[in-house]
Amino acid sequence: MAKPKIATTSLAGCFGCHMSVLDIDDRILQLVELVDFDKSPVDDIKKFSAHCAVGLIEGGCCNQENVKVLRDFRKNCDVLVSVGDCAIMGGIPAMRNGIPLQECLQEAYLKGPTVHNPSGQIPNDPELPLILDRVYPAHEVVKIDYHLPGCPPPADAIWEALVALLTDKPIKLPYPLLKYD
Amino acid sequence: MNLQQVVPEAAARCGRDPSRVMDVVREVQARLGRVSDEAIDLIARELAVPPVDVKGVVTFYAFLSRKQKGRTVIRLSECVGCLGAEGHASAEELQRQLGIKFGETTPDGAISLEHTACIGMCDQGPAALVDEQPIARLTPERVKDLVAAVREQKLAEAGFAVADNVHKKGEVVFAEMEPGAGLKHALALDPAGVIGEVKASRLRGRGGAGFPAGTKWEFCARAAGERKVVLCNADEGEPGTFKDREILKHVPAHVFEGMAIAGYAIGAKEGILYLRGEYAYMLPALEKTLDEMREKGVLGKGLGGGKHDFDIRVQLGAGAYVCGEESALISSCEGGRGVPKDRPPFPVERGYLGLPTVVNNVETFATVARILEKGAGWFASFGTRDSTGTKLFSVSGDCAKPGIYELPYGLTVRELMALVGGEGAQAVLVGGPSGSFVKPEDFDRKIGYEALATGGSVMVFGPRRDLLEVVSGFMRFFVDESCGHCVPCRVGNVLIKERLDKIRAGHGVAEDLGYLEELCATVKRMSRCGLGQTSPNPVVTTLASFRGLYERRLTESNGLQPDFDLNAALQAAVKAQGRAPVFHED
Amino acid sequence: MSETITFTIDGKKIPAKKGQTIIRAAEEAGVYIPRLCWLKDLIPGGACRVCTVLVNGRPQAACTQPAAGGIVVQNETEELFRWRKNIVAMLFVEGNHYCMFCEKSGNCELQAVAYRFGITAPKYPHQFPQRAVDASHPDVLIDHNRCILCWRCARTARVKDGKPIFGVVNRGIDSQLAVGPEQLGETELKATDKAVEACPVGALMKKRVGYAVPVGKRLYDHEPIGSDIEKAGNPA
Ligand SMILES: Cc1cc2nc3c(=O)[nH]c(=O)nc-3n(C[C@H](O)[C@H](O)[C@H](O)COP(=O)(O)O)c2cc1C
Ligand code: SF4
Ligand code: FES
Repeated sequence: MAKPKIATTSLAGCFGCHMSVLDIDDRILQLVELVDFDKSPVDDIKKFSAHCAVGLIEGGCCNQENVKVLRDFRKNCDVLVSVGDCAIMGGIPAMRNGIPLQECLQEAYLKGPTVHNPSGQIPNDPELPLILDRVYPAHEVVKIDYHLPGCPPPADAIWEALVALLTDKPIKLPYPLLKYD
Repeated sequence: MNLQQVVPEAAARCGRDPSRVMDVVREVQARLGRVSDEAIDLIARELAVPPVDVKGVVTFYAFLSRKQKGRTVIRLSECVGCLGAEGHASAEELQRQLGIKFGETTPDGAISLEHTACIGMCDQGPAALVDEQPIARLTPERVKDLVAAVREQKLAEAGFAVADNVHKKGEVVFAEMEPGAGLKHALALDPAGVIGEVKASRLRGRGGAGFPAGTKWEFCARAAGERKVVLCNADEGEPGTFKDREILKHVPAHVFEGMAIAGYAIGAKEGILYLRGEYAYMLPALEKTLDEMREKGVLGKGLGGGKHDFDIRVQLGAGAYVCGEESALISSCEGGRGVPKDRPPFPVERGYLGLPTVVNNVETFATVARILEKGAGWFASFGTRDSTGTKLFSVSGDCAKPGIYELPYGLTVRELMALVGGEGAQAVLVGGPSGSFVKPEDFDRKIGYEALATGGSVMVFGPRRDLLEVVSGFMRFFVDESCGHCVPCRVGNVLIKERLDKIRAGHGVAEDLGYLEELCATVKRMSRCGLGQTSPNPVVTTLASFRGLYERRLTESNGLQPDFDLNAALQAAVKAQGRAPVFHED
Repeated sequence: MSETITFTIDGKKIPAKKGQTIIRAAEEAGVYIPRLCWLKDLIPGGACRVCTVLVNGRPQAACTQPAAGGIVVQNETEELFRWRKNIVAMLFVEGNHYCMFCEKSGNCELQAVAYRFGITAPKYPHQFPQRAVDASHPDVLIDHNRCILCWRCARTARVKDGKPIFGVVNRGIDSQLAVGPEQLGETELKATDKAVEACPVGALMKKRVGYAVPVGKRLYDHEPIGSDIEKAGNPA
């Protein structure tokens, strides 16, 4: 029987959650016994090669590209898990929510106290994805099946969750593993 | 007129009583068009209360403001009850005539334009308050005249009088009564005898909750304390209710007499009528009635040959529906934010300023005067066993004859609709938004405590109304009017409205109905006072009786969230960066 | 001696002094009723409603409701559990709670109650309100983003510190903790005042003492909030 496939992505996140995935240490060997990684920064596969059992989402959506990727994940994965506070509630990037986008860009590229930008330009290359009016938690864009909080979630929490999902058991985190920080 | 002059004057008028913050800020607002931070500090000093408490009061009430208002403020009721198609046209016309939007003031500082919650003109909407004066039956044409009259400061002469619309006078409240007859009979009994009479009449409170009036008085009579208080609730803020307005206009003496009777029964010498800010225009007439009653010896010292002293003052509110809730009413009378109190202790034990207090509705007191005049048996011969007497119904909405009907309890919704010309309604809202939406199949249900309880509000919704829009409007009302003290009501109502509007926009999915039901249950069961405990009712009762209206607007989700609109979310960037998004298909 | 009465919580017999609130009697008997706005020796606020129990079937706040002889109180029902969870979720979406960098994380009562309830993510949409930080005071700051409007600081300041400096402005969802006169720095608040300790979350905080306790040693790292009450009342 073919192994189930896992996909992962980092949207508006910092890759910290991915680091935490790697932090399961030698259990990563058990994991590759259990699953194959498909689209993921872990193996640098850029496009889905097959339908996946589980998609792990790090980060919320701060730009058009994030939305596209997230929707692609929804289409190609049976189960989506929001991993980490950014996916769950926007995280640090969401601190700009409530401040008009124009003001954010000005502060970031022109007026901020530490900005050195002699050209006085706000980056605007057509290659750059357009930014959304605010940062959206993943479940506001697509349906998300499970949430694993933490910044990042402890490696053990990720491990417990994955094992539960792959063995069709409900995810039940022991008290010390449910953390928002 | 400056601050240094106005504040001490206002404070002196209230004897610098710290529990009269409300009166002082009201006066400052009226004379200076705002209560500035400087004024707040000054008031705090004059009345010896913490500045943060004065700030709390000023920011709580809709009619008070820290920012400068125009010399005249026009407040259009945005209540879904009276704001039909005509209302939207009138709102447009107001903005056009004044050249400003809602929430703004004309550049010359003359006129501010605002929205406000139900002002109790539901039978003759669209309606507005111009400062204190109510203006009814607005049309775009009348808006032009109105604005012209305001500009020329000739509003009083412009003939904008509001209508009466009392269509049916019954035997109790609106019947002729010899002034003082009720009180005379009461004073012939001992206080316990008066309570006995009210209990025998099985009179239930007319303000909505329907608590037996005699029992409440008995509790208060028994409570320890020399000084007790009778408080009349004239806050009438439930959308669709305007009966107290007509009582206070036509038979205010019955109300005051009822209060004096209550005072005798419980051993209170002082009464307060709490009049909602929206009804401030009635104050002069009420004060006149009080004076007349004092002259006639129905109020004042030594009533009934020295058996009873009783007098009444009127306390004005300043725009807050929650103040109708009896413990919030007390907070507001004490000059503070209109925040409900924890019970126990109940007001009958510890109410106004910690004194045992009876709170009753305007209609309850008016009815009491008649019960003491004519006897409990006479009264109980009207209505049904559990709901004795006649009741005033405030009928508004899509019917031929909106207005006030005094009728015995126990008639069916269908009978009432026949009377008011409301046949063909798709729904009748009995008891206001915190009551229930009744569907035509249930029109044979009786109005009364046995079946459909109501403080008297009956709103008729004809076949062309978008009921979910109505429901959303009521939810906005509750969001605006929540006092904010407790979490379920403060946050929950916002979330209910948000999800309802998502469904209305066609973005709802099947799970959203369960989500709403769970949310509504949480708010109803966990909220601190009657506001939150009933605020989800517009949604709850329509989900029960008109579920199809929701289901028809649902969509399939296919894993994407239907309410996330990528294009809309990108518009800020399109504007900021001056380039259009590219949508690739892979 | 005050009169003693008995009632039950989830079938367990609870002794109480007459006039004592349900939450206190429960606590003394080793029953934890979740709470946020309640603080010992302070007039109850009745604001968060997390302590709601069923008294003879009717929902009542355990922090304000006096115990009475023979009442039947339910604390752990499936419905109450859901409704309390919903309220906690409401608080998370109402404000801006960035636990990942909050100095109070690990010692925060809001977070701890959410952990105890097993909330992985609030099920309501985040409101992302725009709220201010008041850093005008040399030693204390208010981060309104984190304030849950429990009024614990306001009550403590009035009752224990004798300083009526905190209050509430606006109403409904716009309600906000306010200080008088204008800013914290203009008040007579001292970092040593009891009010500063009263905050259950990271809203009212002493400056320069953040992250003092390492992860793993914080109040709620290993055991759910309320465990101390349950242990004290039920010695093994
Ligand atoms: C949110 C809310 C608003 C209320 N508004 C009014 C009101 O405007 N007038 C009124 O008489 N009762 C109102 N009530 C009911 C009062 O709390 C109280 O029950 C009533 O004044 C008692 O008088 P009664 O027994 O004569 O009806 C309101 C209750 C709630 C919860
Ligand atoms: S339910 Fe709570 S927030 Fe709502 S009005 Fe009552 S006390 Fe205030
Ligand atoms: S602890 Fe009882 S309401 Fe907050």
